[in-house]
Amino acid sequence: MTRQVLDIMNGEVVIPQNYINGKWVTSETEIFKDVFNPSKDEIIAKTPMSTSNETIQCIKAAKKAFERWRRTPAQTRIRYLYRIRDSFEENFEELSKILTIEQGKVIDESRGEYRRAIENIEIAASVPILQQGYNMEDIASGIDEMVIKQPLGVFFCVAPFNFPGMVPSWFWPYAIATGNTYIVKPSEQVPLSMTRQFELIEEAGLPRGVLNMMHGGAEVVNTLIESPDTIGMSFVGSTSVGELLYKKCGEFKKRAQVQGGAKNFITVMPDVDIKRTIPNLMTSFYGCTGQRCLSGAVLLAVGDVYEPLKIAVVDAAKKLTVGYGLDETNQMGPLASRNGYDKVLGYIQSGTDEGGDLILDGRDLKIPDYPNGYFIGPTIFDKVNPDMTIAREEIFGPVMSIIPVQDLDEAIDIIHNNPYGNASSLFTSSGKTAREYQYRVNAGNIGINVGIAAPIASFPFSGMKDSFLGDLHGQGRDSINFFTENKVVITRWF
Amino acid sequence: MVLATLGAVLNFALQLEERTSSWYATLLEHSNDENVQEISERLRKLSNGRIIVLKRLRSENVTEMILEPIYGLDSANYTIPENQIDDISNPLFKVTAEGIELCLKSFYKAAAKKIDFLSEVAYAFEDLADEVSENIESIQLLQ
Repeated sequence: MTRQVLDIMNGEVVIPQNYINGKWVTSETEIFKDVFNPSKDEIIAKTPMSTSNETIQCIKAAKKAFERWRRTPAQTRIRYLYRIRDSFEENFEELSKILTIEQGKVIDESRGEYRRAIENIEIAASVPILQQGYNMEDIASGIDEMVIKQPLGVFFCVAPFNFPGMVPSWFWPYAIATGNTYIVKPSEQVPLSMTRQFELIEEAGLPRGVLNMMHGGAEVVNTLIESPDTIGMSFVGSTSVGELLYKKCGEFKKRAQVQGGAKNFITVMPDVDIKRTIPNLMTSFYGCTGQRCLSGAVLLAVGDVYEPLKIAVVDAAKKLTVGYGLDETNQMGPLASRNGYDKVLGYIQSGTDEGGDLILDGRDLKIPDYPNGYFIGPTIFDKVNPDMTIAREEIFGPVMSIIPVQDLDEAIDIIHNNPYGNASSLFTSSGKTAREYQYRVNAGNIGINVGIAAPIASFPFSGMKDSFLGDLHGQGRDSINFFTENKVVITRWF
Repeated sequence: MVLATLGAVLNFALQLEERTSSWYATLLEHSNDENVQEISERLRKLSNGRIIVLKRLRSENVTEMILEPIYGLDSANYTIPENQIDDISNPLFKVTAEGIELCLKSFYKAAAKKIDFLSEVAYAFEDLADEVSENIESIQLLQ
């Protein structure tokens, strides 16, 4: 078994290989992207920017594997998933640590991420039921009709940097369980988690070419989309890149599901139980250092709750411990990259430039043992105007903007004036208000007294407006439909 | 040390159990007293079983969407006594063994209340506290 990734534990700089047709292959490229431990600003790996030629070879292998794989009974296909699942369980702590080292999130968050990844494998193993079609006798005299859900061929995903251990599992388990073959393109910023997963996947003994991995950037992605031998793409990342790829998928007649950016509004009503709410707000705004697409970004404080809520939020945010994620006592890690760090600093500056009241400033945070890490402490702007940049754009960092509003209608107007619609949460003790909120708010994932409305694996990871392009989401039944075609068969026997 | 994350709580519980298991293992190794051997072996196995439960909780019961900060739990309030005794008639044996199990019980009970946002973990901690209570009773029955 290849164990290239574990070398980072010994301080070695890893150059991950591609996994093509059941073999580890060193990329022919001469271009590499540095991968950093964001807590230390130290290079831990170099991602090969694989070439178009290599990508074409990978697609060919996946295409060739498809013809046999689709004829493999579903019950047999899922046995590979069971083995992969067990392997992930056995290596759970190690996988979580690698994720923390390359991405920065604290170890509990890495464990949570892998828990969801494993859940997706478990749900995908339900395809002997989920992939069943349906039929009806005598749709006309002596004629029957049925729907068969058939696999289509080679699919691929382009994964993001914020959840490198989990997001690919929204797709590949369902794709191969339904009889397709697959290519994972990890984020070039965080390639090690997926590479380690593939080292474990290799042990499951999947037939060659069923599941492949290509490291790289735009050249790999463009080749995957432009190839006549691929069927569809799943993308998670920024809306700007997602829109470009979505258009390109249309041009090349690919199926596509594009999960883009977000600006999530959290509304707190005056009837709320503040003490119970505050811990959930902390994980919503500052969990994963605000780098979830489900993270709270703007706190809409309705009516009289504004003052006591503000005081409680600032007090709790000040108490959060920030540092290296492998230290179990830390509650928040660094930004995942220098670029992200600079971007967040830029947003905080723009907030002050545009007149925001910076009541908690995380910029001066110093972590003595990790002076070069990309750390920014919890930051809070008060009395933010909905038109300010920090209230409109996705910051993707630990920055909360508080907007006092008069009532629920004003809160919902602000939410609807934002182009994104990934998630929104309401904190209240009123069932009536909760129903009104879930009914009216145009966001794909609604939380009621839940600050991170993260769908479990058997439900679709939804999204609306500029946060999602496509019609079928990742996870659950949507995934089964994305990776299959409904073929209708009408039969009459003489 | 303030235990403000689920990982920190579980890590501390694991440390307590590892020291507990180790104490009973040492007793088992050095004592010639059959009664001491019997009870040490039983309590060591139970502690090892709790270690398995804790590791399983750490990997299987992390729900990322409600990974909330934990307030008011400090490891400094839970110290395991570690006198080494190899004679069950030594009054220190009962005192130490009971002290260890009382420390565990006290920690599990307190932690269960603090982690009420993850009910499976809270229930598991309550069960562990019950198990340790039974251990205390059996130690108290020792002649």
